[in-house]
This record gives sequence, structure tokens and C-alpha cells, in this order.
Amino acid sequence: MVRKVTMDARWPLVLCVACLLSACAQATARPDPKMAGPAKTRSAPVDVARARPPEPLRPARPAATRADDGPLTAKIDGATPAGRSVALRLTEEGRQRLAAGDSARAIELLERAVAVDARVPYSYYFLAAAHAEAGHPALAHRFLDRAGQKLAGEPYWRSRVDELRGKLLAGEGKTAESQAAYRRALDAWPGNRTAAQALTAASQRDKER
Amino acid sequence: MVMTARRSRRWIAFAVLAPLVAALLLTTGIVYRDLSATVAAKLDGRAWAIPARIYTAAFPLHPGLELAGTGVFERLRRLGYREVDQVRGRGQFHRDPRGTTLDIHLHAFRYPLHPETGRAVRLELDHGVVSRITDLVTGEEVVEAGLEPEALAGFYDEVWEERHVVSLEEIPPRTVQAVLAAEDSRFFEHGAIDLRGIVRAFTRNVAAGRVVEGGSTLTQQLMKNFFLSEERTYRRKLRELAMAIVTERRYSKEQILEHYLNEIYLGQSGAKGIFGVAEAAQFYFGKQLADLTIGETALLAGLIRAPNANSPFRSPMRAQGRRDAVLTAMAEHGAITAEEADAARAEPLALRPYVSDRTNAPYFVDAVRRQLQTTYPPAALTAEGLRIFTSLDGEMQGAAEAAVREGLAELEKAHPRLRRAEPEEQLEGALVAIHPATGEIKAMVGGRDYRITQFNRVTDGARQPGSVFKPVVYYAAFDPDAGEPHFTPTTRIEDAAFAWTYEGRTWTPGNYKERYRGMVTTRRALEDSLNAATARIAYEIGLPRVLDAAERLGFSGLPALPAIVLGSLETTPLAVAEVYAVLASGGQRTTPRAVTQVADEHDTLIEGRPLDITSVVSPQASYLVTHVLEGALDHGTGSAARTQGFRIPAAGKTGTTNDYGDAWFAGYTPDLVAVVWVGFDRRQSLGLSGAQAALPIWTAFMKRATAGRPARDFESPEGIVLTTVDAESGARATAACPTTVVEAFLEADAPNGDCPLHGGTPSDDGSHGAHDGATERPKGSWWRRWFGR
Repeated sequence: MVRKVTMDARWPLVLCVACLLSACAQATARPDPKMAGPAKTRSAPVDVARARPPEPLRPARPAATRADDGPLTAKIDGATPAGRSVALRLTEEGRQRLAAGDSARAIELLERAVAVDARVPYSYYFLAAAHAEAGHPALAHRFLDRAGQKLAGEPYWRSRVDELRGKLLAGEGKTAESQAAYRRALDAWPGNRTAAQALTAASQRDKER
Repeated sequence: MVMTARRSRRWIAFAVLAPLVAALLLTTGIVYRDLSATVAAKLDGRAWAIPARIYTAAFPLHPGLELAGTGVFERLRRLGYREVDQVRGRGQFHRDPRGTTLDIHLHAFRYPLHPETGRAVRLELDHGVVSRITDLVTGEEVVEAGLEPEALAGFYDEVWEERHVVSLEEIPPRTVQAVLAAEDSRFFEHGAIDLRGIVRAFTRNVAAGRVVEGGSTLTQQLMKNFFLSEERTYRRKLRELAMAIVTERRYSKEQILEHYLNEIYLGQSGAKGIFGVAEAAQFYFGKQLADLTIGETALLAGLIRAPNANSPFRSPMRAQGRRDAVLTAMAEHGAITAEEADAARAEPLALRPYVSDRTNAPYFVDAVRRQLQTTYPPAALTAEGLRIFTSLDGEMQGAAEAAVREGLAELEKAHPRLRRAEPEEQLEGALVAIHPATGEIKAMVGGRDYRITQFNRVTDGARQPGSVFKPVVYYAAFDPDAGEPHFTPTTRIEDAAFAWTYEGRTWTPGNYKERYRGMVTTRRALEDSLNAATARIAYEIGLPRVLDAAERLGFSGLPALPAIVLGSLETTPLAVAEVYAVLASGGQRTTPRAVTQVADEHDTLIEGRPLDITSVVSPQASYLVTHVLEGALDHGTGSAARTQGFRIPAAGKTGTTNDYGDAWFAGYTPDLVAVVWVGFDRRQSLGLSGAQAALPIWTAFMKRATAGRPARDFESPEGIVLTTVDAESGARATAACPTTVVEAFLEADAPNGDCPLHGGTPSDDGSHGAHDGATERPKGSWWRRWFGR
């Protein structure tokens, strides 16, 4: 009897412990900044409804496994903010103009893309490519620096940045730096054929010498 | 004898007459040659000096814009668009009464790289925000449509003429027919002189008892306009006739007509004359020639005889009367049918709003002129018809001018001691706004009133920036690549009076009203602009690091003096804007641009000034500064911006110099940097801080400049973590912390110990907050009490 009574008396105790554990777990969990309560957080009277939190660009496919070489408009979905969507479309238009050989108009469109949403990293890459095409290597390098910063998390694009860097450096006669850039391109994205071919050609030249 | 006498008389007559005839022929030949050379010099060469014209940036329409806030309807009005029930032609727009669509039939515009032919587009609206744009004809989605740039000013020299030269092929036949019907219906049938026309004019004038019709042909009128005065003398008339004959012999009718249609005077806009049919079509109707209705074409042709007396702006009834007379003549000559004439007579006069002659954005225009003068000779700017495209946003410029004008007037009203009797000595202000990612100057107000002083305080007004400089110190402190020690926003620093000894001298920075806070976080030191704490941070990291950061951010050539860290240098609002743009864009410096493209008179791009960027500082450390400056705007020295209703994410810093001689505010969103300075040209104390004098102007401008545009937060770069920390201790917040803040850290600096002040436990090394070595949270004694292990 005594034993039974004792067990009955423990149940509320166990429930209380469970509640306390739950509360402590919440309290000790590393607070999520976005969950910080407005009453406790020294909050700014910012119009939160108008302010959108920074959203990372989502690659259309897993960047680490497949080449991200489709149209940039494929990165637009229902959750893409309007400005970013416009910037991606303008960048895609710029890319097409560049492919058609109209680097001047491509630069104009890509600059518009940066003006609309400077967070879209691809605009900087294609600005570099357009300036390289237009014969402005110094500008192309500077845009590549920026593109490299912004695309650090996307191996396919990082590889393209280094590939273009290699091409620019080769054009400037900086063979060693060019090859280093191509190697970085291959490291980032082993499927980068242009970089591989450039390195193969360079090693053949070395052998011939 | 008789025969001999006759023969000798003939010889005498011949001897006398032959030289006369020869002389006459010779003289005629010489005169012809001279006149021919004169005419050729004009008609074969550059016939007109056409001033360079400066344009604002186009206004892009794209999804995400809230139309009403961007002032789009005001822009449409300024550009001469008319609101209609249904768009049927260029220059019209229609608002759906339910507010779900806005149809705009764009004007054609000659952009250097992509001529806009004048599409009709539909903007689909969702609660006033553009959700989609489609081409009304093809139904295809349009990424971006642009309202064409607005003409800002022209670079005039001696000639104040507005003229847009067009070829005859570009002039619609109906315009030609209207002009011929009004002025010279037999132009293609007669030579230089129209005898029948002269007789007809003479008859009509005699019948009317006054001059009601001229007998001059178009060629004669052209010669008079090109070479001769308005005086009514036989000598002038003879010369006009002679030149007309020469011209008709040398040039085709089409060439003469083309020159005439570009030469004729058609009205006045303040000090500037409106010349040529193409310019007049823009001036009166905001349209290109091809878009004119029959009635509008007839009205233009009717203006030729007396442009000012018949001006539709001044005398609409007279203008309408002349239009109707031209329509009648056109119908008589078969250019239009009687029905078309009747329909055109029924057209109401639909003029574009009269655009005043005042030069907009005069300080900006001056800055553009100075830039261009380094590349182009003066004659190229005043005579060759260059088209200069700039970065200026017309709406933002209007907001900036209003903010400065009204802000300074408010200050004088609230503080009468600031008023001055002499206009040259009055309180001054300056504002510049730039897009941080592109460097485009969006607005520039170089002073209170350009008519009083043309000194551009944005570009040339070097003044001490005071605390506006402080973010440079904090950048230097946050950047670990610059050296150690480096700070985080939660690193605590003592805010107390101290002395900085250097080169045998002592500098003792003091706080505002000598109030000191003791130990404060680095964040609090910048948010509240604490001088002593800031100087101590600079002292701890060392002056060379501050100077290096200043150099990289854009303040170059600073002397190695400790007082620099509190802004005792001289700089301009534009330079301050450049530095803040680096912070706003995550460490990237862009060259400020006023001019984006220059095209020649044939619309060929002759110079593009592209976006140029350089990565100059760490994106992570600059983000930390931005994150703290957001706090300064939200609840620090700039918090009045919030109480005055500016709500979107932004960062900013006040600046006040020692004796209140200069008041500054520099602040930014991710898309716009604006810097305001207020003070006297001859430095005197305002008695007001940056928050009191400059911040209200900044706030008023930013509220209008950002209205209707999508607001977004600053993007944290890779390598930054956001953690909720206790506001007092700076350590990771617990549920018991009364006040918490979301703080940004470099990944390596993120705190891993809980707040020791409110129930947390210290890290293993006993420290708290940033740099602590706290490990996993240890199980507390309550666990052991309840579970016994």
C-alpha cells in the first residue's frame, strides 16, 4: 500500500519535472535572432512589413553536383522578391546580348541589374565578361573581384570566375598566374572543360619547349 | 556719208555700252560668286549652333514599385503625357478606375544604344504595386519599361536656341503639306520668286487695306532668316531675292525645304527660342512629329507667321483660328479631305503643360559642365548638339531641393538667431544622394539658392565632418585583418576622460556636455557618439590603423594627428557620401558618376562612362559598422529620424563640430546614401547639433526619395553570424535577460557563453561575451537535486 501511494505521489512530481525540463530546454537553447521577442529585444521602430530580411539566392539545382548553366531566370520562383526577379531577368538579357556580341548594350543592361538589386552576384560576373569582351581588362578584373566575393558559396560560379580570370591573365601574358587561376577553377568545379583544356594546352606548350 | 555716220554712231554706242555690259556681267558674276559662297557656307556646313542638352536618368518601371509613392503621375505630366479613357497613341496613359492597371503608350525616345519606338505597355497593379508589365500589342511580358529622361538644361553660349534638327525623311508628309498650305502652296512649282503669289498677296493686301499676306516664297523666308535682318528696305529685299535665286540654282527643293523646316522660329520658352518643327512638336505637345494629329500639325504650321501672337499658351483662341485656316487651306489643296478637316477642327487644344525656362538642378548641371569641360572643347558643348545623359533622378532632385529649402526655413523659424539680413550671409545647406552600388548621383543641392550663390557646397564646400568620421574608427577596430586587438560590437570600453599623449603633446577628447558613461559596449559608444570612448578605441588600435582605414574608405591624405579620429579634418559632403557608400555596399567603392553617356546629334554613342567598382575594405567589417549604425538611427543619436516617420531599414550618423559650426547627417539604406550639411559659409556657431539641424532635412528627403520603392534590409555577407545578446553584458542572451539586442559578429568572434548577469554561467575561462572561451553549458545543481546524478 505504502509503495502504491508513493508511486501515485510521484506522478505529479514527474510531470512537473517534465515541464521544467521543457522550459529549461527553451531557455538554454541558443536563441534564434529572428525569434527574439519584440518586447524584450530593443527593437527599432522599423517598418518590418516593408523590410524584407536578406534572403540568400537559391540555386536552381544543387550547386555542388550539377552545372548551374541554365538561364538565370530559372532561379526565379514565387518567393523571389520583385526587385531581385527584375535584376535576374536583366542579367539574363545582358548575358544574351553579350553572347550576341553586343557588349555595349550588355553592359548597359547589367548595370541596370546592379542598380535594381546589387545583391544578385551574377550581374558582376557578366559585367566582368562584358568588359573583358569590350577590351577593358582592368575593369573586368575589378568586377571579377566582386563576383568572387559574392559567389564564394557557389562552386560552379566560383569556377567560372576563376576561369575568366585565367583567360584575362593569359591575355595579359601572365602565364603562371593564369594557370594558377585555371587550377583554382578546376578545384572549385572539376567539370570545367575550358579550364582543363587551357591547362592541357599550357602543359603541352611547356613540353614542346 | 550717212552710212559712215550711222556706222560711227553704232561704234560709239558699242564702245560705250560694251564695257558697261561687261562691267555689269562681271559685277553680277562677282556678286553671284560671293552670294553663292555665303549660301554654301551656311547650307553645306553646320547650319546651326545647337547647344548640348542634358537629360536626367530615365525612370524605370518594373515590378515591385508602388506607383503613387514614386511620383510617377507627376513625371508623366512633366513629360507631356495625357490621361485618356483609352490609350490610342503615344504620349497617353489610362488608369483603370479600380486601380488594377495602368496603361501607358510611351513616347518614342532616341536612347543611344536602344531607341525606344514608343511601345504601349500595361502595368498590372496589386494594391498599387506593379506586379507585372506586358506589351499591350503583343501581350508579351516586359522586364522593364522606362519613362524617357527629362531634359534638364542646355549648354548655351551666345545663342539661346532650342532646336532638334531632323532630316526631311523624318518629317511626316502631312507636316510638309501643312506648312506648304500655310506658307507657300506652289513651292514645288515656282522658282526663287513666285510672281503669281506676289500678285495675289498684293491684291489681297490692297483689298484688306493692310498687310494680310506675304508674297515671299519659302526660299526667300529661309534666306531672310539665315542671313538678313527684319528691316523692311528695298536693299534687304533685293539681297533676299538674289540669295533666293542663288539657292534655288544650287540646291534641290527638298534640301531647301529641309533647312526651312528646321530653321523656322516657332515660339519662345523664357529666354530660349523654339526653332524647327520637331522642337516645336515637343514644346507644344510633348510629341514627336510622327505622333501629331492633323489638328496639331495645322496648329504648328499656323504659328509660323506670328509665333508669339498666335501661341496656344498665350492666345488659345487665336491659335485655334489659325489652325482652322490652315486646315481649310490643306483641304483646298487636297492634302486632307473635307471630313478630316472638320474632324480636326473639332479637336480640343491638348497642349503639354508649359515647362518653365528655369534650369533645374543648377548645381548639378554646373558639376556636369565642369566634368565635361575636361574632355570636350567649349564649342562642342555649345554648338554640336551633344546629348548628355546623366544619373539624376528628377523626382529625388525635387525632393532634395524641397527638403533643403523647407528645412532651412524651419530652422530659421524655430531659431530666429540663425536669420541673417544679407542673402549672401544666410544659413546654408547642402545635400547629395548617391546610389551606393552604382555610384550614380541621384540628387545634388549645392546651396540654398543658386541665384544668390553658385558656390557648390556639395563638391567644393570643405568643412570639418565631426562625428560623421567616427564610423571609420569603428571600421578599423572591427577589421581583424587590419591587426590586433580587434573589437566586436559587444566589446566593452571605458567612456571616461583621458589624455592621449603624442609627440610631446597631449590631446584630451571630451564628451558632449562632459558627460561620461563609464564602461559601455562598442555599439553603445558609436550609437551615442561618445567621443571619449571612440578616442580610447582609436588609441587602443593605434592611429596608423585608423588612417589606413580612412585611406581605403576614401578619406585620403590625412595627417597623423589623434584629433582626426573625431573628425578634425576638412572634407566635402560628396566625399562623405563616397565613404558611406562603401559601407552601404559592403566594402565596394564606386566612382561617383553624374554623366553616364554622351551621344552626338545623330544619336551615336560617343562616350559611355561605365560603372567602376573596387573592393576596398572587408565586407564583414563594413557590415558590422552598418549594423551598429542601424542602431544609431533606431535608438541612438539619429533616432529622431524614426520619430519623424522614416521607417525603412537604414543606418546613419550625426556630426557636429566643436563649436557647433557645422551640422551633418550621413545615412543610408542599401539603395541610397544621402549626406546633409548645414552651416554658414563664413563659419559661425549654429548652436545646434547635427541631429537638430541636418537630420530633419535628411529625414524629409529620405521619406520622399524612398517612397514607393521596395524596401529591403542590409545583406549580411558570408562570415557574419547574428546572435541575440544581452544589451548590458553583451553575452549570449538568456530568457531572463530584460533587454536583448540582435548583434552581428564575425563568425570567429560569436559569443559562446551565456549572460552572466541574468542567470547564465560564465565560460570556462571565466569571461563573457565576445572572445570568451565558454564551452558547452554545464549541467546545473538543480539537475542533480531532482535526478540525483
